[in-house]
Amino acid sequence: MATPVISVRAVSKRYGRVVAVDGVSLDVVPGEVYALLGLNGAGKTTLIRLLLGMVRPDGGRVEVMGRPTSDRSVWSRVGYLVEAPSAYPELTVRENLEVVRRLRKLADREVVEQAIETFGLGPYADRRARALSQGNAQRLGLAKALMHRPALVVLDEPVNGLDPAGVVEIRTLVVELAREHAMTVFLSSHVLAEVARVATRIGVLHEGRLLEEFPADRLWDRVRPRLEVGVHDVARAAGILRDAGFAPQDGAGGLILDERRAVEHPEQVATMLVRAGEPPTRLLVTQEDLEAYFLRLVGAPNGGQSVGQGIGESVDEDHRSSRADGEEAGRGR
Amino acid sequence: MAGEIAAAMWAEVLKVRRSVVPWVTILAFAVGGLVGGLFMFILQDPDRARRLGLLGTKAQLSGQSPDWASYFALAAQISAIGGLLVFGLVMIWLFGREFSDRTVKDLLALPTSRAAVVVAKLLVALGWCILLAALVLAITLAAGSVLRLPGWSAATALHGLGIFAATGLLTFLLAITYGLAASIGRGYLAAVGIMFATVFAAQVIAALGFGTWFPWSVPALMTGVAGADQAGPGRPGIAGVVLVGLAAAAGTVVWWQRADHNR
Repeated sequence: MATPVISVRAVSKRYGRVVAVDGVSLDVVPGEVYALLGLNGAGKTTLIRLLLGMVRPDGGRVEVMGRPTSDRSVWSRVGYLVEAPSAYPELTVRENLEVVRRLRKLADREVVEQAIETFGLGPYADRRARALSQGNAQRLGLAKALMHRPALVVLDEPVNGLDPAGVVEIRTLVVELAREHAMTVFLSSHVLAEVARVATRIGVLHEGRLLEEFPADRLWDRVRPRLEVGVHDVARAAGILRDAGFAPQDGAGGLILDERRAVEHPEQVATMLVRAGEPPTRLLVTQEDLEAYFLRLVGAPNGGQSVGQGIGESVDEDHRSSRADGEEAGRGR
Repeated sequence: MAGEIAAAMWAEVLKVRRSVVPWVTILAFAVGGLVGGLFMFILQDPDRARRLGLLGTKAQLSGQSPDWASYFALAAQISAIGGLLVFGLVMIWLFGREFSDRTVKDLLALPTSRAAVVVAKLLVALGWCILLAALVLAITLAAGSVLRLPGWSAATALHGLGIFAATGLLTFLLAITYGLAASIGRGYLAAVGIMFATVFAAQVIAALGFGTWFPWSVPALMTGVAGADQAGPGRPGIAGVVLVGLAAAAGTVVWWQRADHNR
């Protein structure tokens, strides 16, 4: 195994009584795109700040490029974007990049112009940073993080707040960087469908603990099959199924059953509903969407709540849209 | 390290040049200098000032004379009391803005050390404060010449300049504490609060006669603002200011290097 670019061993961090990171261990090897997945408040940003030496661990060890984070020499080979991008608002895009060039001790003045060109900032190069749109501010943040062609890029929620076009652009950029420039990428996100598109390995962080890690190409082996049942009267059908020992969940425009006997014998479900006078309009065996899988994994609510437990239309809408994302990701693998 | 400080200073100077804050401080100090000149103008001929509406009919001025020695002392007082606020504003802006603009995180994992960044900010603040003090001095000299104040001599000028420079330097050292406060407070607000609290406390403590032992009172005491019958701060007072300033500078470097930067 290659020497890890990032090595984290039993790292913990507390803020008062809150445990932000709890005994996390992980390795990231060269060329990987490692995605750290977690809900908001899971500890992703704290772990990233630990990696970058911005906060000190209460316990454990963090090494970047084989050196402790207190060793400044590693930072010349690391680029990062933590949380929302920031820039000096009174400086232009070019001046902001020039500041970074000098602080990064980059002798080649051309890197500023190259970064402006690479990140499509040409039309805004002499515009003050305060006047940039969110998308262009994100581009500037990435340009600052990547202008020195680092060996390791650490990106915290890199597509947060971007419109769909911006999300695609940043995603494409990350994949290209990793592929063409052999960069190692460590990124965090709370959107599984998004990281599934770019990551080679995924780690799931919840309440400060790393629940599991797996190769991204095994993601689809982990999602559960389920039976989608279309009916006219959802509440009545749910009652019938509950009486039969199922735990129907609202979703997919009807009901969802994830019990093994339902998935393996949908005809028995259909027969039961027909006999009860509520014949199904549709039966479809599918895979659960990525978000449902993720929420089930972390044990979060709304990961597919039972009917009658208050799941709302808006949640259902989210469910459907995230499902579409998941299916698209599946096709794109 | 020198190269790192130079790079960080370049960045700081660029930020200062592009900001409106320097103009605010220049305006504040220029007004202070001009008010000093106006005060001398009034002192020269109070009746004329009354006729011009610059002095209330019943107002009486005492304790100052319209000459160079008084004018230098007045300039030093402006530098000491106004300087604590204006130099403090400079320091709070240089450090606090990194937190308010959330740019601090971009300074924390760089080949340039955090200590170099802090030292660069302090050096830029020093240069900025020297320019402001020079501005007040220039206005003082120009206004004094225009008013043809009596009592000019090399000895008076040297003494006045000495007090002025020493006061400015001590005030700058005290202002470093506000940079530390802006860092620990992660923004402007706490530091501004501390600045006003210390300036207020300095006046009260000096009035109670314990100014020597409260460093923020010392620069004003050096200018003789408490009156001729009050003793100056002496070496203990000056040593206290130097210690506070150096401790604040060291504390700021240590805080940037070792604190948890979680915002």
